[in-house]
Amino acid sequence: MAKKKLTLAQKYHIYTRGLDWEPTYVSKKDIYPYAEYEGIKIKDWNKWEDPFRMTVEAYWKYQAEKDRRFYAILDGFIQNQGHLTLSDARYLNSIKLFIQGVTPLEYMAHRGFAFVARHLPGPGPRTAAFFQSMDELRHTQIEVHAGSNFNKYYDGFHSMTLMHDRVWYLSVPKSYFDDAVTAGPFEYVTAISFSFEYALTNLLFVPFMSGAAYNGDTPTMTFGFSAQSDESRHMTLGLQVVKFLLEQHEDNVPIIQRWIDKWWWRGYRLTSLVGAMMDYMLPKRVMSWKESFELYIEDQILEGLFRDLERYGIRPPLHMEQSIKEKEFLSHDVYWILFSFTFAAAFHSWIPKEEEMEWLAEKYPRTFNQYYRWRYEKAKQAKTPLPGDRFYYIGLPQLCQVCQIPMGFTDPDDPNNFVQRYVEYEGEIYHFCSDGCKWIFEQEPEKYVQAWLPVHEIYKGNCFAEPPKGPDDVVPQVLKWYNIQTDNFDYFVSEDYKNWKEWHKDMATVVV
Amino acid sequence: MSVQYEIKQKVIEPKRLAFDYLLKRYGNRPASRYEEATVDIQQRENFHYRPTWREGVEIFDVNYSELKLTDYYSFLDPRQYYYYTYNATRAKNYEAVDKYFEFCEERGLFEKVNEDWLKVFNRYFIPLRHLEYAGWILLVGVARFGYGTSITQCAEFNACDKYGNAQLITRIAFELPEPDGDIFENAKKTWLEDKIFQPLREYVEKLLTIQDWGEVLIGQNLAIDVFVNPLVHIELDNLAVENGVTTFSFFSKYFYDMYKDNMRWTEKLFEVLLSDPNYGENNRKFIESKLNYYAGQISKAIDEFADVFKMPKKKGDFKKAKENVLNHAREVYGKLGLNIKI
Repeated sequence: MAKKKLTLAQKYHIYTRGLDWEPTYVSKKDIYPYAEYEGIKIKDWNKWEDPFRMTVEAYWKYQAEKDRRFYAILDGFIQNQGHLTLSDARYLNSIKLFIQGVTPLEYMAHRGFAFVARHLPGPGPRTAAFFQSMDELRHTQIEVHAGSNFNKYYDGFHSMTLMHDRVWYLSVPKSYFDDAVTAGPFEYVTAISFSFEYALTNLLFVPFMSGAAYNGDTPTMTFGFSAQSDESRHMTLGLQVVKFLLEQHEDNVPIIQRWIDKWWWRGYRLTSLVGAMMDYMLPKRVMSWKESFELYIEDQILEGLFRDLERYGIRPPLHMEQSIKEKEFLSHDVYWILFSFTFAAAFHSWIPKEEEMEWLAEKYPRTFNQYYRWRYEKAKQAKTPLPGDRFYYIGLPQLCQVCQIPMGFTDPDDPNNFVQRYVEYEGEIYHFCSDGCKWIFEQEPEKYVQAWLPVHEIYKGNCFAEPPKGPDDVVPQVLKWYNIQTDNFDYFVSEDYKNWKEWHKDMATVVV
Repeated sequence: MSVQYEIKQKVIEPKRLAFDYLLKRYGNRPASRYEEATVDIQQRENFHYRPTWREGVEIFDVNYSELKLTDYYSFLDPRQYYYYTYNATRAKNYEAVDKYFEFCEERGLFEKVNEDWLKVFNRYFIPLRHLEYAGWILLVGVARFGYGTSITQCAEFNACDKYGNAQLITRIAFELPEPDGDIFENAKKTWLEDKIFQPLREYVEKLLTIQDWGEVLIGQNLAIDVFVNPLVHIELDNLAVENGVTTFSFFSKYFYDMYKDNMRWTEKLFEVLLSDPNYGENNRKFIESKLNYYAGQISKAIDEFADVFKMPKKKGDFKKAKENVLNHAREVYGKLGLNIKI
């Protein structure tokens, strides 16, 4: 008997969901106990359309080949002391932020997608989630391997996982992903696959990878290109998940809308760190945060994606308008925060050079000279007892209960003031940097009161290597607990800068 | 005019030889890529929120299993797989599979398989794709809930191998003639209804409801795998050869190699669990009590396969085959110093 002719889609079904069966010895609920409590209703998992058709054997081949190329380039870079040809050692401070802040999130995504691959009752999306779980492990490990070489010569790379768990500014990315993995499997995929991978990845990845290319960081750039094919799979999964959930049942629509509202603002606040990096920390700049926001968010997401989702009854996220209003303020506010507290950070900051301030004024004609330049002019004159002839904010900031960024966001409607919001919940006052974060808290206060706020924890005495011997010993004991060694303070008093100058004194001699 | 450039390269002494936490563990030496990719990678502390899907646990929590280690990184994968080396190894392993498919196609080997024997093969072999698939679900659960990257990474790769196995069986089935209609529908029906698979399916469905990742590993890697692989890929394959069918021996060897490869990390992990200075004794009690149960169940479950040994030409000796399987299991458990009655 001749074999039936099958389409590729049918074949792929047999390779994946065809392996599934309905259990008869136990209840399906006992195998997938976390599938119903979020209130998402699925009528028919068979309506799932695979966003890509990857088999395991194809996966092994493609991924092994991609990695073979990546490691060849990385090894070449290492062997040739490629770090010496970077644009400037200042560049590496954004890579420090990346490896401390983002690499552990790649790892958390790996475990989070393993959760989805285990606990979503639909075999189609489970399969796609599994491949993403593998990919995220890849991204973690490649980034660690690339960082390993920089770690040998520069500060700020030596303890990324410990720092991620402890250091104040890293609680911003950590709390973001902790929020996602403690949610149910449906919220997780909406948060990460859709809101992050689909709506925000470009805003995170493109600046980092182009920044790497502009500044001579071949391994990061190569990784970026190589990860793109993984990312495009992740993005199509994200869109597919949301459309599928919306099509399955009308009761899902308000739930998904609430998640989109929440995760838009959560993700947007997270990427504000990228804004600071783009505008202030790259020696050779690619584009401004504002330009990138307009291109990737306003044009592609708001005008493209959300137009497309209208027919499902989905509107653009709440507080999107606020983020548009903030686009000329955000990166300046966040860099100023990082700059002010650099004495307790595992990267360096610096006062922008005059030509850099010119660039900022040109890119932000309505805000930079008006509201920010004077801060750096004053910062040059301020003297503190700390290294680096410039201003530090000696003290501990008030953190937003949700995004955990210090409360230093300018109110675009009243630019001489910072936004401050609060909520009273069960007899306690909680503070927020924005209406978006306040709204997120109000949806699930029982979750956000659990937040491990770094500043509160310092006050509670939970962040000291040893009990401080007096008020002057508080910060040193915290830094010791963070394992911050010579990683902090201004770039121009750093070992990185000293070494960089030394290494470039007479690096190459040309003999004719 | 020819110009010669001589680049004088500076020798720069590295400031550190490795990440700080690796230097603390291993002393002042450079770390391997496996160590960098694995050791202390998982988040440990200060988790912001508790899971909404389960009460009383943290995001990563040693209490997801009764099995515990003083230092979770006292276990390291003897194969030293991290993402790249794992994928590169499997891509290379699979090259041989691709070549073999080409060879079979060229020689028309799949079409030439004896029809009576094919009925037997379709009954015991093709439905195993469902069993392998269940292994994937179980192991990806270990990859989520296990503690420490060295363990969970092995589980993730093992999960991938299981899915790969399920798809390789599928690929073989695509090549086979279908004298009795849709081979996949028939195989699913066999898996769901044929008496030879029912105890095995009951076993695996029950295992799928277990939350303790250590127990899952005992039930899957130390029980299902240890019994089913020698039964199918050694004993039944030998019998197939005695019945004149050699086409599938190549695949059986591949699956068996995959099993052996995964047993390397499994055995090492259990060795470390059993010898832990603080938890070793508790781990032993848990492992022996669970494994006595699971090995007993799986041993009974495969007795149904006696029916398969009635091959079309030469009848096999199930009792002897079963004894060989039991001896294999005894050897595995004996090496670990476990007291298991089977």
